[in-house]
Amino acid sequence: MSNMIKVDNLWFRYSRDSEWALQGINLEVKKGEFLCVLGSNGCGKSTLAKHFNSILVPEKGDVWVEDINTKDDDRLLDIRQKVGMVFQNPDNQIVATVVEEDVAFALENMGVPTREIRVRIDEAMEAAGILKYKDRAPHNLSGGQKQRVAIAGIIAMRPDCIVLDEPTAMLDPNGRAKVIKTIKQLNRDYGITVVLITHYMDEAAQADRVVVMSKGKIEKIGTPREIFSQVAWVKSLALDVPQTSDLAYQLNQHGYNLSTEAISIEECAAQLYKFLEE
Amino acid sequence: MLKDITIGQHFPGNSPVHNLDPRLKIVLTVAFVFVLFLSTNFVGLALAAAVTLLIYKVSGIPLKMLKKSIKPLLPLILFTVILNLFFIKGPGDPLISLGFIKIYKEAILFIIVMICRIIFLICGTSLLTYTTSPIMLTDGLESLMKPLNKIHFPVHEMAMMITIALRFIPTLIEETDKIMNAQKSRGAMLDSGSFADRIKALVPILIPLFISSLRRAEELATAMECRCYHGGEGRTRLKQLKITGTDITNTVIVAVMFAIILSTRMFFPRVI
Repeated sequence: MSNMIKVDNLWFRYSRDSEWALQGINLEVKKGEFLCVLGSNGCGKSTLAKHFNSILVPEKGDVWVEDINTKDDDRLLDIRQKVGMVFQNPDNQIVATVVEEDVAFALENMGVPTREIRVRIDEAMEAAGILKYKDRAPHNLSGGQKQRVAIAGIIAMRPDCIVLDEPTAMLDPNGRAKVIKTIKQLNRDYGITVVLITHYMDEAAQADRVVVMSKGKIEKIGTPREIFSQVAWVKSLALDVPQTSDLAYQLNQHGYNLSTEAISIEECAAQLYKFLEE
Repeated sequence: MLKDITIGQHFPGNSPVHNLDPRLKIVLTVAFVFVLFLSTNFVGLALAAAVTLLIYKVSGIPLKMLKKSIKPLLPLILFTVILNLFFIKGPGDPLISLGFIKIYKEAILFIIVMICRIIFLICGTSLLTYTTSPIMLTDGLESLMKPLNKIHFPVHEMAMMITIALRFIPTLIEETDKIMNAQKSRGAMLDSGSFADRIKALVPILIPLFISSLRRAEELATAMECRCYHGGEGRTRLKQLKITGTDITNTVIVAVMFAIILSTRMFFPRVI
């Protein structure tokens, strides 16, 4: 599989006399994968995400989006079209006062002809499941709906990759579930590469690969199973593990012998059932 | 209290008023303001009221919105009343004379006309924002102001600024409410004390509001950049402005109504 994004020895700091926010990051995001980035607050994960579509450019090292270097100013709009970004607070991403006009914003900027805008925003709103709110004012929608408006605004650009920076942090459980469902659908049905930054371990457990960051460096990259089975290590980074792994871990502390690799609820239940039968 | 502010609110709908081209709507609204200030007799004002009501009826905007938009104006109206009541003098004898206070018939007439004008002015102009989405409104303004580009006036940038300002009004109102509640819960006295105290009590509300607005602005700018925003150059539109036959017919109808209102000047005596 070819790379969607390639980060090559990236160093970055916000000003000359501040500390390095990112210290020699190397990462490859594969086309079509669902990658999750974890890390405690201030570990540099949002800073890293902003390098993916050239909002920030490296001080040392390079970031490549397919074959474009993010330092290439002439290709800036190509990069932003290929890699879309969704942020935490939906209120601060919505520009227009009617849902469909907001979804069209990116296409208007790109100079897409009016007739094609219509077709593409309808597709995007359908994919994000907000078509029925298209004439509503965004401030009358719930947080989860607003966040899906923001997502629709990005997928209307038909990006190859979407980077989501804690998109569910401000949502209630219901809104969160819907947003995650939308993200997974985009990944599975439309083949869009997804980079999800999150604090919720149950979201991370659904990813193909998980990147764990700490203090501006990448600590480990692996499948959710590989990462979360090392419960003690994950906890030492001030992170949580999914409740399923945690349950097995806690039981093991009391002398049981369960696998912490069972991260889905079904797996965990099956394991416990088997264990209780014995 | 803050929820009552209606300026900049938009009620989506599908009436002829909603669908009228925003450029024509802006021009008609400006014309309406002129018509109001040129109506100097009660028949004209009554007709203006009738026209306003008719257009509200057609647009389907609930009339209780009218009440809502007039309410915040009461202090202004009261101020106008008091000021004019005592300072306008007529040629004849005063109606009421209490020591140095003399109230003339002219003053009362003038006040009635002014109140009508202010109320109709707000009703008429609110209708513009009620029935036009802010984006359409700024599109209209942008299109009307396009000739100014020739003298290097940043028309697109200004239109964008207005759009964003309008978009953030409800968000910031909500935020102000939250901050007020937060400060109240920590013992801030916002509704009591002398006038000076109340002004001072606003400082701990305005400062967090400003700081959070700046943060919002930065985030919004980043989000806009992420969506390929690069100024007005080469932009297309989802909704292109196009004046249709219906638009022209409707505009002509409204223009004729305005003309009738104005023509009352010729048949009825001026009251002020």
